[in-house]
Amino acid sequence: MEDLAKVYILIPLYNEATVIEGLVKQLSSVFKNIVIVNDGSTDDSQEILEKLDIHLINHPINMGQGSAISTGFNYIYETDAKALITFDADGQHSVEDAKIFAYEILKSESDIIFGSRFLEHSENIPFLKKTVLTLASKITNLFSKMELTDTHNGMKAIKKDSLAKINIEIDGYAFESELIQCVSKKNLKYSELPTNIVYTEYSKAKGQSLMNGFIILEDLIKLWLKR
Amino acid sequence: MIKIFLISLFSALFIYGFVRPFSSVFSRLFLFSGSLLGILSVIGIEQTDKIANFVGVGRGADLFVYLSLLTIFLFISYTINKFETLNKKISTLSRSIALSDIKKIKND
Repeated sequence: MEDLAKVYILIPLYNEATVIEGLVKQLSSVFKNIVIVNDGSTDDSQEILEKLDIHLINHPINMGQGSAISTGFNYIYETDAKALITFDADGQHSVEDAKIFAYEILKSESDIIFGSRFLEHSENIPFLKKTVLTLASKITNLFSKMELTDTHNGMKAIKKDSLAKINIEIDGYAFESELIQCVSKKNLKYSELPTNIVYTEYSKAKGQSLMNGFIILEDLIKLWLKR
Repeated sequence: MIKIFLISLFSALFIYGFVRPFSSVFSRLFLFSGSLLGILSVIGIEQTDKIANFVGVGRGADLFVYLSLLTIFLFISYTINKFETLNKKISTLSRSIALSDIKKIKND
């Protein structure tokens, strides 16, 4: 636990009152510093979060996952953290994986470690989702000239020093692609680690709609045009 | 009667293009050319036909339809762009408020 005190967990959150308390309890058994960016939730998330032992940042309005991540980066950059791990609020990720990511980012030379559902456990991914994710990864790799197997995985470990080189302007889901572009442009060292995603009925209902893929594609084209 | 109304409207827009401060020269030109084309469409049907023939479009009315469509698309793309810029400003402001609030709580 002591070793991991300087690895912060960053959770962007929007309307996760059902699962957030349990998730924070699980994470607290391993991580001391949990930063939650409440992105303008309209359910009871705020009341629940205020009772928890966390670093709580409240966006006055809902702006999107990219914006919440960016706010979290800004906050953690000012702390004593050595690294951070981004973690989804819907309970899809495993705390065990986060622990592995934390130890790995502290000892490895990588500036950023991307989580991948395709290195192991890919049999857990529903067929349609797998197809869309593979396509999104191929397009993102094409734009960024990187070789990642899963470009839209919420779990990532990032060294704090690297945050200065990462600038996220996209507020929505496509921030993942923008982050990858930053990593590519700034020549940050990267690697991948397997993650096991648990697709529960709750997380499936909460997760990104496949139609959002079109919005991500639109943002990718804009990013490419901006280059 | 309708001709007088339309000419008055386009003339007023033309004058407004002179007096209104614009952040971009394109906006001013857009208003000038739009109002002049408007006046021309009302009083100079023969001239617009000639222009249409010159640019390879059959009738002046068709030329106006094409120009109107082009204007609508330009306006939509300009509005989307403006909307995104505004969204970014709101996002920056909200994030800044969120971070300064947490600092205040810590200082307290």
